[in-house]
Amino acid sequence: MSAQFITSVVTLVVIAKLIMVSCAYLILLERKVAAWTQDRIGPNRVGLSFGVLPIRHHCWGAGQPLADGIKLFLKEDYTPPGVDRGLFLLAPVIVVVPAMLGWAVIPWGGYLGWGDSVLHVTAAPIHIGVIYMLAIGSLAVYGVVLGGYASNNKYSFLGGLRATAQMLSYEIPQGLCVLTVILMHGSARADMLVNFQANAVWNAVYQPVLAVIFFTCILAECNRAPFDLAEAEQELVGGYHTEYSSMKWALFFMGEYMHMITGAAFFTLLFLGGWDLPLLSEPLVGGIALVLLKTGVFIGKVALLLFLMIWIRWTLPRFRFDQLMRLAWRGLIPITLLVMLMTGVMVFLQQPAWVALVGNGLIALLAVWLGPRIPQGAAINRRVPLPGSRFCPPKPVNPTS
Amino acid sequence: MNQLLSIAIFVGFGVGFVFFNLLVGRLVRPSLSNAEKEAIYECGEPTIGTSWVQFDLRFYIVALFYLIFDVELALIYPWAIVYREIPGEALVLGTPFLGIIIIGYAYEWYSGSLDWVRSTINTSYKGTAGIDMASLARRDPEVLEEQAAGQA
Repeated sequence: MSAQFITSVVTLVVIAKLIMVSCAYLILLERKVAAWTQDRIGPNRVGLSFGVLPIRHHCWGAGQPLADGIKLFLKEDYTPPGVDRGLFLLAPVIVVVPAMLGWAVIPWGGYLGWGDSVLHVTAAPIHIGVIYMLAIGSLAVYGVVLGGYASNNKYSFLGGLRATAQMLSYEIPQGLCVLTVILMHGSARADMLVNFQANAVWNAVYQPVLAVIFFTCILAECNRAPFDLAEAEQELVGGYHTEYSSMKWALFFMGEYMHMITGAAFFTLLFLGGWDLPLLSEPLVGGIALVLLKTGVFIGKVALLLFLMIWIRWTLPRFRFDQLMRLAWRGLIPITLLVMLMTGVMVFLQQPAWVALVGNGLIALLAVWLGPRIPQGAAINRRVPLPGSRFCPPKPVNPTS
Repeated sequence: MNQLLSIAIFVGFGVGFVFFNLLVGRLVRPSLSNAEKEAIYECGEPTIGTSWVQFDLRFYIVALFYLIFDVELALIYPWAIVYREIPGEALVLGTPFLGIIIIGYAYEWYSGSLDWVRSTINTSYKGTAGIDMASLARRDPEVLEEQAAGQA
């Protein structure tokens, strides 16, 4: 029973509980932000009294998540005939569990000095933490596709298919972004990547194009608007979770928010310097107070990113499916490949890191200039006048004959 | 070993949490099902057949491209980790590898497989008897209409 193991387990329990509670309040935040965006008030009736406690104030709707949870527990759960029962039950589990597993390798609070040993404030300080996060993150696609497949509903099936194509397509630029960051620093350990950024400048400053692309990919991986084609209400009823009800549906919902938190933490780790703040980076190893402060900074950055995600959802309209695929395959992948090659050359020539910023700027300019100039000829469809169709009117009868 | 144990604890924690929620829900909720309530919901219409039908092949092609890309990426991660230590050897060994990805990607782009909306120009679909969709799509519809008018 080493000290590291005890630290890991304590971190695991504290962080998991913290995120589960914040997951519920994230839903309240989402509804509040939606209301503010649309000039409404939002949920404000359910206070913390629940008709029992002597609290007169409405608490700005703070009791809403609890009331929602109780409602979802008490809802009737039914399974339509003809579904694949095993997979139907398995799908929400596969959505939730990988989203939680991602938190295991995130260095929430840097290092804890205990006696003369240095302990990682991480649930599992493994050597390939970043690659582990990417691998676990891509498991979530199974949940969505199984949910769509098992439901025996045509809309669910279509939603599952769309979700698969979307998540697969956006995983490639995401993987390339992670690869470029590893290439820059020469390490795949999560805590080492944060240390590098704490010693210099955050990666988002050196690689802004990469940061924007990575954030886009996270939105697409979480099925968040403007990439929520898998559950587009207007086209697919509810998408892959049409047939789900009660707690199983709630698990899908929770999985989405947990996935958002995982994605935001991943972004903070790779590009926003983890627990680092400009005045706070100097003592790398500290006591419990410093660790708590660093954890607070990390969670604060994650919260800002989550607010940004919600804000984007209620501001931008949804993509069309061909636009979505074009953005991934013809927009993000070539740009990320270019940035990766640029970073590789930069590291090979042993240039300082600010060269990456210049390179990013040049690549962004190139993309903006070249984008509209790429010929799209082969993708244009002309109307084919098939005989008998309404586009091919019958030949006029010659009146003289 | 301890690291893997931590991850295993996390897996157990997650699975336990999920099944605990499902179990508590099962204990407290009512169950008053009837045939109407259990019917599959497709906008209120009676369903026709199962939903396990053949789907669009474009999804299959996307999955295939993803597979190629992702396998190559997975093989490149160790390369990226050691790149800073041995840049010379890494460059020599990595260039052909990356070159294959980039050439393959350029070919995908050129062959039109990356377009979600496919052009009729490249189709081999023949349509009804005696109609060549591909060559019709290449021509301007106005010219075709003029030709039709001329024949009349």
